[in-house]
Amino acid sequence: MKKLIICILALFVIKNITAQDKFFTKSGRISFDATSPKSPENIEGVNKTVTCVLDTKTGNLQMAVLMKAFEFDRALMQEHFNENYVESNKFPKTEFRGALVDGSVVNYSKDGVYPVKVKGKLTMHGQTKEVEAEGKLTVKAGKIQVQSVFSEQLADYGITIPQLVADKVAKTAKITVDCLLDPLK
Amino acid sequence: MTKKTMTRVLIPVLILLVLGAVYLYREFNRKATSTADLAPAYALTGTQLLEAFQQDEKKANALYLGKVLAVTGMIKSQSSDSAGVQTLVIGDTASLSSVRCIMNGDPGSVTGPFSTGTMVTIKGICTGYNADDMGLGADVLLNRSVPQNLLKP
Repeated sequence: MKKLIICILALFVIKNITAQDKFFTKSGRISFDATSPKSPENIEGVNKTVTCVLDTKTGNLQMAVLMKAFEFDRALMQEHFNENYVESNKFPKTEFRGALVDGSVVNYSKDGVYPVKVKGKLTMHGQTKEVEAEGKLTVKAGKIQVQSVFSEQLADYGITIPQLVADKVAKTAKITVDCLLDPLK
Repeated sequence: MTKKTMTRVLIPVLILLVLGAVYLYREFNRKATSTADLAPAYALTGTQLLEAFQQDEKKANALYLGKVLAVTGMIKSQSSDSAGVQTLVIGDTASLSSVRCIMNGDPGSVTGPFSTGTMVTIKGICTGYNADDMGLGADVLLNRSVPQNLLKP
């Protein structure tokens, strides 16, 4: 009986340790900017519903982004984004599955800002590509903020820009990631 | 061509050009219509919506993606991000899965107060489904949401 209680307690402790290794959010932000020098206006969209999970033990980082949740200042731009560029009815989700290149540089038990590099597979518009991006992890008061700015070629994901507006939309989009992660309990 | 004929032709052409320019200007500057002013395409419970996506995501996407939905359920939690954007989470407290309603945030829009356990009908635009492949539970997301009404628990 005593052994059984110890086993149950041990399992409970292990479960809690495992859970505390993971940090997550379901309300992260990703914005993209495809403004070119000849754009008549800023081509910017923001998504406030990004799901992101970081496993501090393994360094694994996962993100899921629903394309319909990108919001634009102008309705017409949002319609064009969904219908003509990312085809969000056909490809509703963008996913990133990767890991910190050197997770050991981050001391999750000490508040601080840690420059990191992330490497993994980005699947967007039905195309998957290996990506590598630099960013920073900010550990503060038991939370982790994941921030990164990187650029991706739209053509690499099969996103074509109509000839009529070829010089009005940048061929490379600047992507800004900002996710504040809470411990998974 | 006589002057009279030219006038007869030119005036309609000018009117058409002006109307076209006005239409293009308005279309270019058009903002998204407030969800409060949109009629829901479907009215269903949070459980029904989640089940539809869990059973057949492709079919549910074809049916609900980008549509205005009126979803009824119990508020199990709520939160605000650093920019003050409020999220109401509808669903069963015993389950990790839920319908996440990102509130409109327009100035003057009704944003509460809401309390956990309250039955509510939220109108929002369905932006898709995140399956439970990260161990966080599955979610259906509604953007630009507004409360349709508040019901007694």
